[in-house]
Amino acid sequence: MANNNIRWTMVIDTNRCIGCQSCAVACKRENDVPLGVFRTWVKSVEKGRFPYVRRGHIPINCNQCEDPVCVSVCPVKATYQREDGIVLVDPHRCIGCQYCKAACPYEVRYLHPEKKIISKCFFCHHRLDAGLLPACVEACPTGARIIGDGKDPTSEVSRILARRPVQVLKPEHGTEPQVFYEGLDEAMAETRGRRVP
Amino acid sequence: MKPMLLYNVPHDASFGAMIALYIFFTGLSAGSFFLSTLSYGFGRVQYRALSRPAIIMATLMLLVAPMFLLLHVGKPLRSWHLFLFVNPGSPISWGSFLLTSYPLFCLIYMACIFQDKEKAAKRWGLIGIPFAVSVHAYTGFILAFCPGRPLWHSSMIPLLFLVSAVVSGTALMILVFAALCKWRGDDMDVAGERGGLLLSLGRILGWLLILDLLMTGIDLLVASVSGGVDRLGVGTLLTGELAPYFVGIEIILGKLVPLFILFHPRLRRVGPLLVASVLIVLGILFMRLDLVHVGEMLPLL
Repeated sequence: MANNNIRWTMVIDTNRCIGCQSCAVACKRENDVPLGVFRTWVKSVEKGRFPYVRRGHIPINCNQCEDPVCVSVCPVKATYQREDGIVLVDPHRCIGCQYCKAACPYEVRYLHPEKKIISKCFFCHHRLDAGLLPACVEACPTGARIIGDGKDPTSEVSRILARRPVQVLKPEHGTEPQVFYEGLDEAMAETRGRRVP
Repeated sequence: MKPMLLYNVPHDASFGAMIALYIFFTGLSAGSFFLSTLSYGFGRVQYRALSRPAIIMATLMLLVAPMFLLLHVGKPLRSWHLFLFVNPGSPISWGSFLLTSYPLFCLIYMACIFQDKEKAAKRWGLIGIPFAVSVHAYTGFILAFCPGRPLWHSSMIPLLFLVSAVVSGTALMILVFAALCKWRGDDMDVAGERGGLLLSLGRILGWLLILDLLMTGIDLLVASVSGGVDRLGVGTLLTGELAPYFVGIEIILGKLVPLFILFHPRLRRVGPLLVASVLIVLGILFMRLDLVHVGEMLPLL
């Protein structure tokens, strides 16, 4: 169960991601995510002009922020943070006001189309608690996603965070995301007003 | 070369039209409440005739407003959770108590007015004002507490909401009062008492409208030089998809045209005043819709 000696942390190497959406599919299957909404997905961006081009992929899911906006704005404390850092939503308490969804700077929350309550990525806490890896981590064919204990200095994530250049999404909001990216490109992280085609 | 987006997941709007309408109706309520306290609370006896219709409108609008909230939330039958599980850091939590206490003050104040209890009306009117201010300002805080959204995350929003609340409330009361006079068959000549009252309300409305325009302008001007999404939001409003609604309806039709009507010496008559009031209420309605919409149109990632 939740343990305050652990801080679940994810590192995603975008250089390894090939944009296959296996994580999105595995997540849908594992968590019974309904049609039209996603707990994780891969955004793809192309830049440059032939022959100097690059196609970049960035897997996106809940950042399990250390200082989450969603928790501070929820009027009924339905969304809360576990001691191991995972941000959860109490499905019996949520009233579906969608304030957390509006306030999240990463747009990783969705309103369940049938249950009419908010849901999002929970790092597959049911699997972590059972000693398994989250579905997306297990499904990734290139090993782009790594999850581990950020408080343990010898864990794989801690070693990567200590020795490699990493970046989080939108650090300016002070939410302290606990999903770190290697090889994050400015073109992938921002939309600059481009709408989804 | 600009990077090209190949694939992303679109997101539904979180708030949308229901929340915009909710903000619109609480604004009308708060604005009407201020007007009704002018005579009892602040001793401006020339506005005495307004007090009764204004407090009735304030109460009615506040009964209508939460209906939009119930239509908006996914689980309306769980609304009692708001009173049981309180999060002091959430503006919606503040709102759940404001929205229940403010109508009570309205009712007490209304009872005092209708029983002609001058002193009690003054006391309850003045006590009610901070609640009327809070009940509308808190809706501004709801938007301002969303850090990633274009034009929402601004300390100007709660104040701007207050000003636009008084603007729309005053315009509404001009319409309601004129309709009452018409219904009773009262004389609405400009030289007479009722017509004079309407015109002096129009004067107040004009100055409030200038304040509203100034605050909107300042907010957009600062946002247009800030980095990040705020600048994109300004572009969407001024030249982008929302320009017909923002520039066309909200600013030109809803603010500049009424401003011209209100301050033009040849148009100091009741007819043009009513036209200006209708346009102003329409403009404020679009202000709510535009602001809620602009924050949710652009994808954040």
